[in-house]
Amino acid sequence: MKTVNTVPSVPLNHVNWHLITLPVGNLSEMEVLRALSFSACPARFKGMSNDSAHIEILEATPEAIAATEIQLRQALADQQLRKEINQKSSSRIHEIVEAVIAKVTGH
Amino acid sequence: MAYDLENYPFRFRRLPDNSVIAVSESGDHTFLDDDDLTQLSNAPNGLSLDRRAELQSKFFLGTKDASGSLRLLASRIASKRETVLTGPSLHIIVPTLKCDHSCRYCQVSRSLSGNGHTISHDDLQKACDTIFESPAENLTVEFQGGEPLLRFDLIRFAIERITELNLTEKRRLRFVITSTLHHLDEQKCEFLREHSVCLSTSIDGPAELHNINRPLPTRDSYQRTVDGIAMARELVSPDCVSALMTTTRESLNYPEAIVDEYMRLGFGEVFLRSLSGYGFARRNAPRMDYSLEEFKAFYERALEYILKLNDQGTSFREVAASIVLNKILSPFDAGYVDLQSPTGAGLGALVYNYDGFVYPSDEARMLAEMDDASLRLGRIGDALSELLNSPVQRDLIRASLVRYTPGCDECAYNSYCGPDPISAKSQWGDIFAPVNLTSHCKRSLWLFDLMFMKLKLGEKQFLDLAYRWAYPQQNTRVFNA
Repeated sequence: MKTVNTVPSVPLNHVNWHLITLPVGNLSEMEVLRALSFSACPARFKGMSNDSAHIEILEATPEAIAATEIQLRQALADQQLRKEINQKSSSRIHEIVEAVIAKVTGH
Repeated sequence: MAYDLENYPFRFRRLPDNSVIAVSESGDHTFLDDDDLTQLSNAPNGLSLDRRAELQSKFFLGTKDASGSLRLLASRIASKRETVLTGPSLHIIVPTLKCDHSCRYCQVSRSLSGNGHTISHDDLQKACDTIFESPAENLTVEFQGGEPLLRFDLIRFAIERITELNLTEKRRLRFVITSTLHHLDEQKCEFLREHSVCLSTSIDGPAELHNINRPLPTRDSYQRTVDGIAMARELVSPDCVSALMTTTRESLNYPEAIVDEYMRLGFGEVFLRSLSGYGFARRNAPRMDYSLEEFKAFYERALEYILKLNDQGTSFREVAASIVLNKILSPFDAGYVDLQSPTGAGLGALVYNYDGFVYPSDEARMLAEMDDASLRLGRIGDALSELLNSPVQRDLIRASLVRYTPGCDECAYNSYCGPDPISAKSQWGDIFAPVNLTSHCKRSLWLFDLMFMKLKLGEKQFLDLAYRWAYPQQNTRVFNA
């Protein structure tokens, strides 16, 4: 099982983790990881099954766990929206940006 | 009547108060609530007319036959990339590493006798020639060290040669010397005045703080720099000196005193810079370093103080905020090398080092002093086209393209920012280190968040100031440092 730690400063062997399962819609594992990697939440990804992500939250108070869960739900919903925006947006704009980059890089 | 609207790509981010900031490909921004965000993505025709007009003008939306506005968008995107599109414009020459200081956070300087750690005449001449291989219309030539004034003969030679070459090249030239100013004298000032040379010095704050950070056996480092500033203002020109500060652990308790000191010395701005993790600063880190959280508290206290001073009628600028506000509010990039994609290292700036090699940035030559010479582009004398097509430069470009860097590709701020592969190399040993783990990323996200939070609050006094700060002043050296 993959473990992606988003709190590198926390010594992993000396803390307890609380497992939660969150729905991820049509996000891939990589997209879930991206959402988590930029979330400030003290959480780590454990894996996926049946359109759900299994995430461990650094165990603190029940209130802190609840607050982190809300933040993670938001982060995953935002990631879903990012995916939709990217899919829907005009490909002509992507081409314009590529052309500017090509001018800089010479390719 | 509903137009046939199409979505343009944009990115968004949650601010600390959970509100949404969205940024389009042109770098225009808007604040959205969750309903507007969903509506914009799913059914933009359902947005109010005013909202649609705003979002169209900011390139979040377009009509399907809008070829004119697409050309405008391409032009806006290119304007944002001007710093790396027009060829290297900042050319740093390091004549010598010699210095009589033993600053605790200095990255590179060596107090040496004899001729070691000094550029050869042959290399210096070749460096001067290479500068004009850049197509950039504006060329800034900056002398760094060590203490470059210890080898004023080399500075004089370079300035005279570059000035002579420019008789036929006709570029817009600017010379800068980064110095403690301790070795300034009347003769040097006369030459600097004749060639309109600017001076960039270091003031870390009040005398006590400055002398702790920049010790001399005579314990008068602060006074000698202040004397040098006065001499330069009198004999070179009144506005020829700018100053930079570096924040150490000692500085954290004195945000207001540091600002006061800069105003007392007649400067119109201060650049509140955190410690960089190179050279002696890394070796002394346990004593000098601090967390980002501690720096944030220091910076935000200093910024609030500066904003209050401005509210009371004293015009005074903070440069880090100005750089970020320029990115957010101006269509034209002020040229700050550290926030570019692809990286400004090499593409916007080059360093001709005393050791005979060319580096893509000041930080890269500092890594070489720490026995990591992997970022050398080539030798002084190599053609500029070879240097910019070197494998190292190609890798630096690849490692700094926001569209192809996981994390950056979806970051709301990627129109303004970019990975700093050299900083990543210093911190993690790899220019391709995950961006979200780099201090460059964490610091940049925080500063952009902070400025957007202030813009969102929309207090008139801050908005007026933000638009003034967004446009760099003439002779502001730090914008292209």
